[in-house]
Amino acid sequence: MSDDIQLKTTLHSDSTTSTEFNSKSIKSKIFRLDILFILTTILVIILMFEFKFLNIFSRSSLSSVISFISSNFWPPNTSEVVQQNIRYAMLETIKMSLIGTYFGTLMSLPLSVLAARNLMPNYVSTPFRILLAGIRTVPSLIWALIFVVLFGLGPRSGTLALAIYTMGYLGKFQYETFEGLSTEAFEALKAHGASRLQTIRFIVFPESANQLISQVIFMFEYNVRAGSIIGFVGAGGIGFLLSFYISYFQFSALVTALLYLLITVIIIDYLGGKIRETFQDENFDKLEL
Amino acid sequence: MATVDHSNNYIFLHDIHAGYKGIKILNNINLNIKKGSITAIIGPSGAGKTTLFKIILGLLRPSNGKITIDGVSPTVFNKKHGKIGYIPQNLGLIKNLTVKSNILLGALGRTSNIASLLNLFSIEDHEMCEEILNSLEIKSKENQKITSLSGGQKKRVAIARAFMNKPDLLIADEFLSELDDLNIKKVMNLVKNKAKETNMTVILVEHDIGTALKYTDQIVLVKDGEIKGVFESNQVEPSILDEVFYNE
Ligand SMILES: Nc1ncnc2c1ncn2[C@@H]1O[C@H](COP(=O)(O)OP(=O)(O)OP(=O)(O)O)[C@@H](O)[C@H]1O
Ligand SMILES: [Mg+2]
Repeated sequence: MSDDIQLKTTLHSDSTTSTEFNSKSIKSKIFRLDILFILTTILVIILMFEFKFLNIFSRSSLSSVISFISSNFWPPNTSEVVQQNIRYAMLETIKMSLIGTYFGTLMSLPLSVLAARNLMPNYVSTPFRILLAGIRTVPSLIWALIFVVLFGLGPRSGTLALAIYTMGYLGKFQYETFEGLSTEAFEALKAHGASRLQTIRFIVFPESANQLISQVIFMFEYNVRAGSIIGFVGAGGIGFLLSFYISYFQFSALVTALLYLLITVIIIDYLGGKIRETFQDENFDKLEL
Repeated sequence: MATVDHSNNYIFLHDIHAGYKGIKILNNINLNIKKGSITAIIGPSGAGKTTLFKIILGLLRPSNGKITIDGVSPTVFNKKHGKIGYIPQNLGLIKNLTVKSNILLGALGRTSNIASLLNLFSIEDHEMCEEILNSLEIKSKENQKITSLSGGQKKRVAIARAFMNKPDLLIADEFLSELDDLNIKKVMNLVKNKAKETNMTVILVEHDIGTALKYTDQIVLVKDGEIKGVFESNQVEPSILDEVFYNE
């Protein structure tokens, strides 16, 4: 019996070496981050001189900015007609985001399964990753421009742009989620004779459901913001109205529209955040758009 | 080392070398396992026990050497010849599904893609699942999510899922840890009866040498990716196993 106990202690004797290794690699990473930060700071300061940033603070330019704002922007235009237009356009942006997020999600799911390294062989996943990355490299504004050229002005083109862009981004979020799933469930089901389709049905979707929902909500929030910008190229929504007010120098109406946009975005981000809290996904908050 | 009668080999490994991404883990593994026998693999952490299982399961391709189960390669065996029950070291349960759904997944191999996409399993499979739930005493938990179970209950779900596949070969990694003595006895008796009834072959990793000696026919000692000895369980003294460890 005492032999057994002795044996057990030797069984786990190699665990110390692995922790030593870990702390070493972490230390070297922190060291590099220090240097990196100092170097980037120096670089940024040099670049700021090149752009003549200090000139902003010269007395003449500051005072001209202040007088321009105080004479043209304030007070905001609160007439009922202006507010009605803004509400209509704001709602249009939200509708565009809803439709765009919906179709973007539907299209991204099969693509992200095909792009996941742990679900597909490399010769399948690599081309789909490149496709998704390609979609992401084109900003949503440019997608909107492309669709406006193809299908004309209006919210339809904006919605298409949001759908395509959503597909590119959500697809990446999704395959990263899939690749983070533990391999043991896959191994267990494969050993029990499950097909690839069955592992996707019974492991991939149930195990990543929370993250997927959280990502979709985040994407909707993002699309409301992006949807406000793409209107500038005539793709409908509040952005269209913003660009209209700017080009006709109606700055007090512009301020009203911006306030509406600000409040809407804050409310949607708040509600989205609350909903996402119930579908916790620790990895997700680290991702940057 | 015991010489083995080759005509009786069910699982046969010859000069197996294997590793991950160029890192060598297993070296020159030669092993024979008879049909219907119960084998325990013992060895220190990191010895390569789980890696050896992955080779037998066909989840990892050896870089060198030959392995057959029932005369064919593991992947062919899994597809055509026989059924495998696998209990991974960390169980590999699907946390967001219920106990019952998890157990039914053991029947995926005999369920068509379309039926399984709709979550339709045969009536026989549902009945069999009930039976296993009862015999492992987790019936009351059947509609609970895996996350709400205790360690030992999770273990029993994984065992149930493996049984669900009507295995000819049961492979269990750290099978009995987290179970109390009474449950170890219950589960091992269940396994022994099944092995006798259906001529099922069992290979398990077990850290407790006493338990391994008590319930198995053969003990394989693995260390540093090599097999250091194969012993008949009823003929070996625990102290001899111990010695093999310390002499390295
Ligand atoms: N996926 C992997 N990639 C790279 N190396 C791995 C991988 N899995 C295991 N190893 C390494 O292979 C060696 C053997 O691992 P293995 O899991 O087979 O050990 P084990 O005998 O099962 O140990 P334990 O008793 O702790 O489960 C270890 O050194 C481990 O670090
Ligand atoms: Mg192991």
